[in-house]
Amino acid sequence: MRGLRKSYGDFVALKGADFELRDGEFLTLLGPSGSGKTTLLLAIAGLNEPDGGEIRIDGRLATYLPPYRRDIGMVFQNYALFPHMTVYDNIAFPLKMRRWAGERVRPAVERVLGIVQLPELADRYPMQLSGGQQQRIALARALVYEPSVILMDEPLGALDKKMRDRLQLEIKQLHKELNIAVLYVTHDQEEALVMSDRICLMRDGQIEQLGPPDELYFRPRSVFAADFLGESNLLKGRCATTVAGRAKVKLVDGGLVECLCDAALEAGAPVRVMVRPEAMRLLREGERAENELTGILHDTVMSGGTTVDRFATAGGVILMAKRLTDGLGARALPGETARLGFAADRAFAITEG
Amino acid sequence: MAEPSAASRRFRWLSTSWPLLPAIVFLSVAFVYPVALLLSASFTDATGSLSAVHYTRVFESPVVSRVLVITFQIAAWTTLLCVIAAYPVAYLLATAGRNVRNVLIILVLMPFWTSFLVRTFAWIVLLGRNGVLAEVAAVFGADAPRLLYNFTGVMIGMVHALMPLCVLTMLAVMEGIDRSLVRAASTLGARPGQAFLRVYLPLSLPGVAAGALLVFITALGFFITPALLGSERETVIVQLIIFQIRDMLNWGFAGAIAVMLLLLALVIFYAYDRLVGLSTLSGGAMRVDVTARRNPIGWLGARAGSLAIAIAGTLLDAFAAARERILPPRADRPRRPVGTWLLWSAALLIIGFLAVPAFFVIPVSFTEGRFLSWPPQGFSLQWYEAVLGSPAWTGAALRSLVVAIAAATLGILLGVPAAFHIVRRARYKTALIGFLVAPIVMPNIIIAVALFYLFAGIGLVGTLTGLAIGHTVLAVPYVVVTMVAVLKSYDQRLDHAAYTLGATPARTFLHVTLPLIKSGVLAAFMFAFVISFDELTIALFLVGGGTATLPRRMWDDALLQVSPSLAAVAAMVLVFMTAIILISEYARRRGSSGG
Repeated sequence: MRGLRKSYGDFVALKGADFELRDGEFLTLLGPSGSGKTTLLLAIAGLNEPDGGEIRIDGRLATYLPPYRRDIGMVFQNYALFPHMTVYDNIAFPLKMRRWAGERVRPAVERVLGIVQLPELADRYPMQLSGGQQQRIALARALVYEPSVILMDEPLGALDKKMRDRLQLEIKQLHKELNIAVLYVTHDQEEALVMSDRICLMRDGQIEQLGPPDELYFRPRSVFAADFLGESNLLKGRCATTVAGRAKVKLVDGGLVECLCDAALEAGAPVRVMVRPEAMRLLREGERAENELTGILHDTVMSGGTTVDRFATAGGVILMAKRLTDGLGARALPGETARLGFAADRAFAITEG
Repeated sequence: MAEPSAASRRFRWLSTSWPLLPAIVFLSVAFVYPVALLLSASFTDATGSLSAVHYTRVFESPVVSRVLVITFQIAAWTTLLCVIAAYPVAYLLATAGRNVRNVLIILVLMPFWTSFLVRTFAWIVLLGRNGVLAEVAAVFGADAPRLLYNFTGVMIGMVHALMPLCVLTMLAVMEGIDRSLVRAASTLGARPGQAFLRVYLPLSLPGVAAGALLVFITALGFFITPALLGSERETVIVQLIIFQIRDMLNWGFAGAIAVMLLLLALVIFYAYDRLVGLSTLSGGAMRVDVTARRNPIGWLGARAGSLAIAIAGTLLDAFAAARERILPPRADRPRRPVGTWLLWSAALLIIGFLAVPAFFVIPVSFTEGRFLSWPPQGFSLQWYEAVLGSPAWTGAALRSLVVAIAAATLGILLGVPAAFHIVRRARYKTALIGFLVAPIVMPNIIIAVALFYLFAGIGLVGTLTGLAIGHTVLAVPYVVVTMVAVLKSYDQRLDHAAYTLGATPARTFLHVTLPLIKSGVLAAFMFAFVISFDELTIALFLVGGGTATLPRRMWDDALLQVSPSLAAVAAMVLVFMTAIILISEYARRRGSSGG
């Protein structure tokens, strides 16, 4: 996989997207439904034809090449296993289509069945398998002919949470072992964060932001990106000064906070200061923090491993502070006034506009 | 507490199964009993004692065996042609977008609903000596091939009559095929031809088999088309039965032939069940697991099938590879969907073949001439005046209307409660549906002969009551099938919600269930109405002369001569039926979009 580049003219579902999938990379197309991620994937697979732009696979032009000439593997959302063939025949199908010699087929099929750890299922029919097993067989079928890239269209969407978590790690592990390029589509931000080398966040047929998961998480380029990945506290304000990647922001609610920012940020620009809930702390009596806010405790929600305290500021903004659940009970009672703090290097100024 | 007594258990069964009773009792009396009576008549000789004399005659008669062979030939060729022509149409309908599909399906259904007789007349208009085809050929200075009153004519008429049934049956299966499977095959390296052969075709085969079975069985019991479009040589088994009864009064012999026909149908059903499973008839999935193939017939079929697919696949692939060597696929411009164009043109041609011919009866009915000819001479309403002024025709139309309304109403009253019970409660669903649907699976002629035999003894022959009972036998299965489909998609939690909100079962039915299934009931009624309005076989035996229905009169007239007055009747029937179909389709769509 050398390079994949595509851009569209004025297509409704895709308004010009442009990126490159590198060798052995796990890239995720993430976005809400209707953002064009599946359209993009289908165009790369050759299952729908773009109105303009260019697709290259291994450096060769492939924009309008039929899917069977592209050397790609695809795992479908509903697995698309052929119901009238056994697991073995399903996996052997692409090899037969490629006219592999008969004696090479069986070892190849057995090898991938070993890779997905289901060697005993070769003679079963897809309907006799559980969802997780079907998913792995679909993956094996896409792997067996060692394509240069594997496309996955929300492959875990139909599974329950436990199975999804397990398969996420398994697929990631396989990707590492086989060193194969993967283009993955999902609307689940957690899945994208867990699995990807890079995430391509899409919105309305355009790329919103493309980068490694931690960059998207900690330095989102827009309020949309901040909102879509994880939860966030967003404080409205105006940039006062910037010094060496740090900005002082004057908040609309009053008060001055310090945070990280992009080099391009200029003084006077309207910004939102993003603080992830886990960076926001309830301050004890006498404790100090780089930035401090006050609010009235609204409620406390425990959801297993973490607990969230929600506060209302004087300006009516709701702030969330997340901490590990410790069984020691509430820090404060609803209605009490409390001080909240966060470190400057755990907050980021997003340019508004 | 003691075990409940037998009596109380029976009472409990009755208290939950009462909705089934009317339908079962009715079909037992008006269907099972007469058929059994006919069977026993075929086993007794003139003196009334048990004898196989009729069967020895059946096997010894050269006429019977010759007719049997030609009947088989006609049915087999019809089936083959129907399947080949229906497949692309069904495929197109299954894969086209919603709006396109809705329009096309009406075009396919239209001939299904317009009277068999009208359609047969249309072919006479098109293919006759002074017909459309002959005139078009004459313009080019050529002689048209003889397409009427021979085997070809019978084929054209039969394929035209039965293909919609085949399309609908295949469509039911094809709609269940996940379209991402073919896409998956193409990403896995299969060319379109291979993807179709190895993935789509095997998955659609149950539909093909079901369509073929229904067409074959129906074709075996068909006689209108062979009688009107064929020659003496294309005499079919049903005509032989009619002749034996009406002209020879030989009940036992006719019964024996009918029994042979019935046995044949049963054997075919059995073989089908072994091969693919009867559940596919209602659009169910084929039993893909190996258990379905454990019997030798199924195993052999599966083996032969996969071998054929492998050979065809290899050939097709070699051809496609050769083509790609000459014209390699271009990566820099959109693909030309040649296959799609081919499919569309083929399917549209076939749909045209289905939908267009019937309308040719309209222009010829306005002719000034005394014979059917093309192009129609001048313009005149004289044939309409003649028909509408003739009490024989208007009386027949009125009788048809009365009988059709009565049969459809009775069919609803008997069929709807039974459908409710089957969907919601019944324990032996398949067996029950099988029993209730039996009258449409069995060749109509057997029901007709059996009812004639029964009614002759109790003075119901020649009465509209008798005919209405006969048509209700046919109406019940259609109502049951339609309503079972409607009720299966009805969310019963709505009823449960109504109960928890304080509604009694009766009020729930009235205010929640009924408004939601109303359009389904209407469709079932229309279905039954049209079946009865167009029915000829039973009418042929049960009424005649002063009590003839419209199809019966059209048939009697057509046997003498297909005249312009008949074309006028056909045109009016066509317009009437089309209006009914469009209205009910409109009602159905409004019903389904509104609620």
